[in-house]
Amino acid sequence: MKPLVRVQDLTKHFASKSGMLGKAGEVVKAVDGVSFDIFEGEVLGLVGESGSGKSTTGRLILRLLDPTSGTVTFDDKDVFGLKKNDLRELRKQMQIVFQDPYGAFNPRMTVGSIIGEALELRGLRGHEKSKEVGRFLEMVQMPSSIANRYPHEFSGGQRQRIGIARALAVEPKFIVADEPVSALDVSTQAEIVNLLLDLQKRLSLTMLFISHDLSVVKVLCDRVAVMQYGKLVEVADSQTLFNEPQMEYTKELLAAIPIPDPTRARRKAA
Amino acid sequence: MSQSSTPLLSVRDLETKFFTDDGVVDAVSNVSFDIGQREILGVVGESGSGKSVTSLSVLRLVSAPGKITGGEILWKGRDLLKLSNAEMRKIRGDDIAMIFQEPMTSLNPLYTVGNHIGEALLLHQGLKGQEARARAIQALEEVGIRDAANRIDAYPHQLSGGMRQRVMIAIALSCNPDLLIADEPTTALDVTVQAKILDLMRKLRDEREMSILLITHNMGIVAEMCDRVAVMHRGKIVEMATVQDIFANPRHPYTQQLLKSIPTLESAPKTKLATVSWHPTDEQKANSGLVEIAPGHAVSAWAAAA
Repeated sequence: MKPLVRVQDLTKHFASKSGMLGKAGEVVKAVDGVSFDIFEGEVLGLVGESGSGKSTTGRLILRLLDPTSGTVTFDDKDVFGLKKNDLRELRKQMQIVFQDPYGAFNPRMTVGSIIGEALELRGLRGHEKSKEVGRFLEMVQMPSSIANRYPHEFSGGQRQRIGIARALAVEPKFIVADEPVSALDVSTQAEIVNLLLDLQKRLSLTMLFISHDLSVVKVLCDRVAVMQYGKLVEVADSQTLFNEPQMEYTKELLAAIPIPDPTRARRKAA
Repeated sequence: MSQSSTPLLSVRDLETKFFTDDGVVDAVSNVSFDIGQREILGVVGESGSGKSVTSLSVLRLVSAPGKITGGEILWKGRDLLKLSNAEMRKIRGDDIAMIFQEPMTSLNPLYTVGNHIGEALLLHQGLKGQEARARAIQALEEVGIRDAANRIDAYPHQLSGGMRQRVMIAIALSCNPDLLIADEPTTALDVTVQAKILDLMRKLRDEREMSILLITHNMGIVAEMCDRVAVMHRGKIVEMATVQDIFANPRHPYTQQLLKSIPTLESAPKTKLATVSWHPTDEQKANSGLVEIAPGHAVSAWAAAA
């Protein structure tokens, strides 16, 4: 089966000018020769700890960053080779949902305008556009009446729903979700996870789900890729990765997760 | 009759309110709990539960527009709410120490690690110069920081998140407090780093006979670390029990739903999570005082009767 997204030898280096990332002149290999495929209709989890390169990888795929080397093919098109107009067209097929629901919106735009902007890309205007805004809000279980309100009036979980509505409004094939539930409370997290499960199935979305939380990944993802220090450590289908991890780092990650059951002690430290 | 056990800390009917322009917020209402020696009490809740304000209240670190409006905070028998500022300053750091979630914002970027620990040592133990430096290096080694003699001169930005948290713990422990209040100490850390910090905290508790008030929203951490647990919701404790009981026999619907909604490594793939839908009716709000339903297990009165 041909993949929808093919990442090959993707590399991104950041040069450090000052002492923050390393000595001046040193290079940080944020993404270091990463290759994997994402198949249509699947949810691929991309997990790793801070500094693993997972977020950078997600941004590179959408060409929100330019790579140092490597290629990303989307639907047979070379993402990094596209000219501006072609890229703009391609971008209608791929969207992103961000981690921080508080920083993801222009605070001076109403919810309706925010989603409306995306709809205009599909050529919608006026009454038709308003109707569609309502439809997408309802898809994320928010009342269409909120279109006239501003993002700051809503909680983190509600804003995340709005962010998802915005991403869906363009009717993309592919969504990169970068830690979409990490900043949310436990109860809100459960709701958003359920929403994503539902929408992904209904709309047959292809998703790259970036997270440091393996438990959430287990619920949402078909396959999982593990990154560490810019490199891909292991890729497997969910069942295999969680039950029979091959690589030491994967085992370490799984073992480190505290289990909500006092009768089962986590592997004790030496 | 039980022996010795005057609890180290006894909070009774604590009430903290925030007087904002938009009205009064009851951040903490009628909160009571005890912490004994060597005990780890977990306070669990989501945002708005009042768990952080509770811990800040214990140390009288609540600033305007917040104010402690009622209750008693008995530390080794003395009501902290009746102490002068000078007396309270002696308690902070020396008797009761606190570590926070974001070590980068809690550490002064212009001061070295050594400056930070040195300040605590000077204020609470009068140590200076070489003696303070030696003691500081020792404190860093005790929290597992290798090459402490060099790290002591590092600035916070030169350290990783895990290291900064270790430094925070070192500062907190440098004056041998009897109680450590840890507010979401590992939330900002990677899971492998978190595991090491939790191991460290348990080790230090064992070695120093220290008690810990651990505030978290993570039930996995609760299961691993805590002896007893208090579950908070909108300023009130809704259930309190031993860690075994809270997981095995949760009685309050909020506790039950919270536990069911957490994704774990055992969660079924592609299956919806249970959600939390409980919120109190007016009748329940009026009947929310804790009553004991089993030895060591208390729950809101209305839930006990149900």
